[in-house]
Formats: sequence, structure tokens, C-alpha cells
Amino acid sequence: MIGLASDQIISEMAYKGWDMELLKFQIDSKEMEAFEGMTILQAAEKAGINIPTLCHHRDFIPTGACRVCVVELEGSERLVGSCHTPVAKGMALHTRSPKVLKARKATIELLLAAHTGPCVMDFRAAQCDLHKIASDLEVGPPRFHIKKPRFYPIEDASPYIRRDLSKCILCSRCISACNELAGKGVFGAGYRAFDSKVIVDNDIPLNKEVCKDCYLCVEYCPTTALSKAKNAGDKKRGKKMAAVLPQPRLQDTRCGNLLPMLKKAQSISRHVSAKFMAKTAESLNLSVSEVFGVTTFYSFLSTRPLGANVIRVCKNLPCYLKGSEIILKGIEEAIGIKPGEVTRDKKYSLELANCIGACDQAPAMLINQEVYGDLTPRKISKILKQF
Amino acid sequence: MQKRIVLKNCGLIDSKSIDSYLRRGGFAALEKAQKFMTPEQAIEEVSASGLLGRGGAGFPCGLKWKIAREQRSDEKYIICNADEGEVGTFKDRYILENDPFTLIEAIAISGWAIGAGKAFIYLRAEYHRLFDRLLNAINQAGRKGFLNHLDIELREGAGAYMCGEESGLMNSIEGLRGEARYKPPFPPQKGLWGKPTVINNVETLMNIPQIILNGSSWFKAMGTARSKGTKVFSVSGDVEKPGVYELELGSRLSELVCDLASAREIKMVQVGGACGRIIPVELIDTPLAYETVLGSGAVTVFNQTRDVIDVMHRNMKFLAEESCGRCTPCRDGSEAMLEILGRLARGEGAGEDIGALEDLSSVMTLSALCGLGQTAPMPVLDTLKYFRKEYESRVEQSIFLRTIG
Repeated sequence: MIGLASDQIISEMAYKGWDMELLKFQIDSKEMEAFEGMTILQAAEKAGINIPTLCHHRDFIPTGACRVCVVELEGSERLVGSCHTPVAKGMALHTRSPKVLKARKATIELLLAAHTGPCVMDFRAAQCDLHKIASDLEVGPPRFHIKKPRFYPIEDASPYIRRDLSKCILCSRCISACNELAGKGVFGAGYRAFDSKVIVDNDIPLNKEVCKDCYLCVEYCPTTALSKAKNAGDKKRGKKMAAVLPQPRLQDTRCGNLLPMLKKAQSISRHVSAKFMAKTAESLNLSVSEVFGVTTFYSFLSTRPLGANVIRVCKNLPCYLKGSEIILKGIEEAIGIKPGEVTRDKKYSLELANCIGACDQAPAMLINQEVYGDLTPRKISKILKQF
Repeated sequence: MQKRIVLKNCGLIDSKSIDSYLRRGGFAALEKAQKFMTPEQAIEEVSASGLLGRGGAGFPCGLKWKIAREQRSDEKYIICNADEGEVGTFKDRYILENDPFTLIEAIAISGWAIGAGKAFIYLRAEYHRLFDRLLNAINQAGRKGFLNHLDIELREGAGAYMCGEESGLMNSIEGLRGEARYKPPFPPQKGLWGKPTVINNVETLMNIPQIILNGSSWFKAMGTARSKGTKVFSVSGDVEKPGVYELELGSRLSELVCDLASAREIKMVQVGGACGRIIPVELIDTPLAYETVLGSGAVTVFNQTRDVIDVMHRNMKFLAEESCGRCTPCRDGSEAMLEILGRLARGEGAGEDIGALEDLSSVMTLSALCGLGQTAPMPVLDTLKYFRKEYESRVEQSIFLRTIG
């Protein structure tokens, strides 16, 4: 539900298709025609050209997340995602040029390196699209390494679905299936950057209460991250409940209040509590996982209580060059905690911040909303005395 | 020499009182536009001035407005991007602190020009202390009757670099995670809540009133062939006089960092923040312009004592932490680069590291979903070009250390 956007134009145009002119363009030197609004991927399919995809599925709004389906567009420096880019008149596209294959392989290698493997010994790997594409493209062991590949304990509390998020490639198809088809919103995207994770509610293991047995997510999962639980019934195919589809979020301007509400909660109770998130989700007609996902995206929001005074020491280059590490050490000694911790009397929280925009006063920090700049170890105790 | 166009009023007006702004000719541009110009003429004037976006990407401002103006829609939006999260940038903070009224006037003009009824100012959470000052400026302008055609709402981020990228910013206002959206559609076609939306950086907007008042030919007379006007720079790092400086576009980097900010024994300069370019001291006379190097105008100076790999490791740490996590090349690619740079920084490099850094840079540049992921490897690529020896010798040292250890 997060991707939104061009599908709307595409679908609008597809419906209006009959009074639209046919566009002429080229894919892999083949002359092609298509209606305006068609994506490159759709056009390629029509021409019998196979472009590998992972996050994309025709049943869902494209998200453009995995970047496996990129193709070369003549005249464009960058590659374009074929699942979400509409064709245009005169385009010359290459789906298997050396540039495309090199980038595609590297993306596959990254996905292989980023999750916990190897899956060589896993009998389930045969069902994994990532492995299939990797072998199609002759990708060997990845050249890249990741310090801590994604690893999560297997969730098998649910009698219906077994989740093994160590195998997840964050394509978000389960989120789309649950939101767009089942209309339930059990899954959501949580956290940020490499910590991003498909979450259930407040990031709890999938269990019976939150999910019943429609299995749509399992059907759409391209990897083995989702599978039927061992003792699950033999129900074949999930029922699509498109009739109960919630209103597309795109139209719902009420959700614009979500971030201000979360910020207010943070300032009042020093954190965004699970209770508050549940209440907010209900009042805005969102799922708890959506609210939790927004909360954990932002570094100024916290799901655990912070201290009465939040100290944020900038750690980026301009401050680092001016000795921010000594300042941090000084503060750690003065209040006796490390970054990410809260003092026992709940008076202070210490956080490392990314650029606070006070580089002309480096090294600098924020305490609550105020900037303290040109810091020296001596200044620290003076400043802390004010609190 | 500094040329203060954008910063014209900074330090000369009381940022809390609209009267001091009015005494210096405030809101004359809005009046001129509304009385003597059609919206199309105003947009034409901005287009003719050659004003390019000052936030980093450098998109023609007039064209953005024109596209949005031409869309048929019941609602259109203006967003002022005050989420300057690019490392080493604080020019917008300086502007907001000292001259919020010019910004409000500029937003009023742009809203009128494209036919928007609603504007947002998206302020980063780190600047919360400026919230009241901006709100006060909006309220005072409203009371004087300058905002009858436009409702300006102040929104605040919550700590995410990604929300300075326009699609992340729109998602954030909509109450979603501040993740990237793919383009097309572009915001002037379908932006906030699917409606035509113009997103302009604070500094871009600050140029508007004077372009309207003095005309495009006045503005065009400053700068280079493709880069018109001035640019506000935020200078930090190993300099004696860090701060905000405004120079005509095309001025030399040496003038900014050596003459104005008094840097000495320079090794390299990072221009444009964490995603910016690295200029070695041999090229210190590079002109600052869209044709060469500019970005958001963040200029961080590194002296001879700094270790390139340590600097790149810290830089990549920032980018990896602030990746929105949506697309593979940025989310996993920056993490893989961080792993390599971390090992190199600790003296645990391996022979294939440099090649792997280049391959990762290539996939991120070519395939990442948004501008941030695409430009994130730039500093690494630049240092591999200018300081390759340091990488190579680090790898050799690492291998040597392993053989004796």
C-alpha cells in the first residue's frame, strides 16, 4: 500500500485505451506497438520477451522495490524499472544488454548476501524465485558480504502459516496480498534501512489471533519466507475478498494527521506506546502494523520510553572533524550511559544523531529542541547543570 | 566576493516582525505579480530567468511550475522543502532564522502562479525551535491579507534524511513511511495525494520575489551559461571561519574555502553533502556551478591529516543508516559498501575490495529507485579516482599484516 502512484494513471489510461493512439517503440530491436499507459514489462510480455521480476506481481500495484526488472533505455543514463515505467513513443529499450545484465546480477547477489543462507541444503529452495533467477543469470556465490545478514527466528506459533524471515527479500508482496486482496492488513513494513522488516502488528510473531487461514500471502511469496504450517489444513486456494477492500490510502487525506499525532504522543509520554498506536490505528482506520511501521521509520520517535531530556550528539563528518567523539565520551562519563540508553533516574537519554544542521558550530548537539554548539569537554558539565 | 541576493535581508530585518520586512520592500513582488501579471506571465518570467532548483537536483523551477499549472485538477499543492538533511548543509536554517517573510512571500507567489489553494512547509524535526518563528511569520502575513488565496500549513518531520527527497517528503506528509516512490509520474503531474504538486527548496523560493520584481534579465546576468544567479553555501569542517556564504554561481571553490572561510593545508573538499562530490586540492579552482559541482551547497573541507578511507567509511555509515530501505541496491548495496569500507578502515582489506566497491557503485547508480540511492556512491567513486593509491596501499598493508600475523 505504500507504493501508490503511477498505476492509477496506467489504469485510468487503460480504461480510456480505445481513444488513445498506439505508441510505436522498440524492445530489443523489435518494433512494437502498445497503448499509452502500458508498462514496459507488459509490453515486453506481449512481445514474448521475458524480464525477470521478484517484487512485481500483476495482481498488485507495482512497488518498484527489488530492481531486478530494470532495463536499458537509450538516451537515459540510468536504467529504468520496467514494472512501473510506462512506455512512451520512440523509446528504444534493451532488456538484456551487458549493462542490464551486470546490474541485475549484482542486485541478485545483494539479495543473496543480505539474507541468511546458504539455501543449498534447504529442500525448499527449489520453490524460491530468487534462486531460480540466480541460476538463470548464472550468479555464483555473491561477491559482496554483509556484516550481519538478516536473521530472525522462525515463527511457527500460527497453526496456519510458518514465517521464516531470514529468507525474506523484502519484496512486500505479502503486504500487498493481505492489504489489497484479503483486505486484512495483517502485515506492514517496519523499521528502516537495512533493519527494514515485514512486521505483524507491533512486530509480534504471527499468531492465530491476527491471521486466519486465507493463505493468500503464502501464494504470493516468491521465496520460502512464508509457507503453510506443517499441520495446516488442505484448503487449496485463498478466497480473494476484494469486495471488502479498504479505501485506497491515496485518497484518504485523514492519514496526514498520523505523523503529527505520533509526534505529540512522543512529546507527552516520551515514547509512542503500543496502546497509543492501537488507538490511533483504530481512529484512522489503519492497521496497527501501518502505524508501527511509520513510528519506527523516524528516528525522533521511539517505542520505548526516553528520558526527560534527550541528548542527541551529532556524529557526522563536520562534527567528527571537530572532535565530536571526545564530546560524546565526555557526556557518557558525565551521565554514565552509552548511546541508546536511558539514565536510571530517567533524567537523560543519550542518542547519536545524524546531521542536526549546526555544522557551523561543530561539534554540536541537541538537548530536547535546543542546539548547543562549539562544544568542549569543559562546557558539557556546565550545560548539563542547567537540567 | 560575496553577493547577497537570497540573503539580502538576513541580519537587516527583525525576523519576528513583518513591519520591518515591509519597510524593506516586502510583499512588493506579490503585489506586482497579482496586479500587473497573469500567472502564465509570472511562470514565464521564472522560466526565462533560468532558475534551477537549489536543493541539489537542479531541476528548472519554471518548468516545474508550468507543468503543474497546466494540469487539470480540483486541487494543487505547493510544498516548501525545509528538510535540509544533507550532511554539512545549514543554509536553509540560516534563512529561516533570519528572513522567514521572504519565504512566505515566495510561497504566496508560487501558489498563486500554479493555482494552488494549499501550501505546506515541511520543516525538519531538528529545527523544531524555528517552528514558532515560521508560524508567526505565516500568521502575520495572513493578518496583513497577503495569504487570502493560499492556506499555508506548517508540517514537521521526525528525523529522516529520506524525507528531504521529494517523494519521501510527500509520503511523510500523507502519513506514510517516508519511502521513495518511483517516477514517472512526477510530482507536478501526480504528487501529494495524487494531485499536481510543486516542491521547491527554501533557497529556490527565496529567489522568486526578486525575479518578479527585477525581471529575468537582471537575474540572468549573474552566473554562467547554465547556472544563473547566486548560490548560498554552508561551509564546515577544517576551516577557520565556518558559516553561510552567498556567491555568484561560477565562483571558484578556492575563493569560497580559502579566501572566505580561511581553510589551510587542504587535502580535499566535499561539495554537496554525503551524496556529493569530492574535489581534491589540485582542482580547488573548480568553478561552483551546475555544470561542474554544486549539489545542495554543502562544502566540507578536509585537511592533510585526514584519512580518506576513514572519511568515506563514516560517510557511508550515514547513508546506510538513512536509506529508506525500499529498494535493493540502496538498502543492501550501501550496507555491503559499509562492510568493505569498515574492513579497509580497520586494516582488514582484501584484494578484491576495490573492484567490489566499483561494482556496488555501478549497480546503485544505475538501478536505485530514487536520487539518493543513485548518488550515494559518488564520494566513493570520486575518492577511488583521486585517491586510489590510498585504497591500494591500504589493501596491500592489510595483506601484509595478515601474512606476518
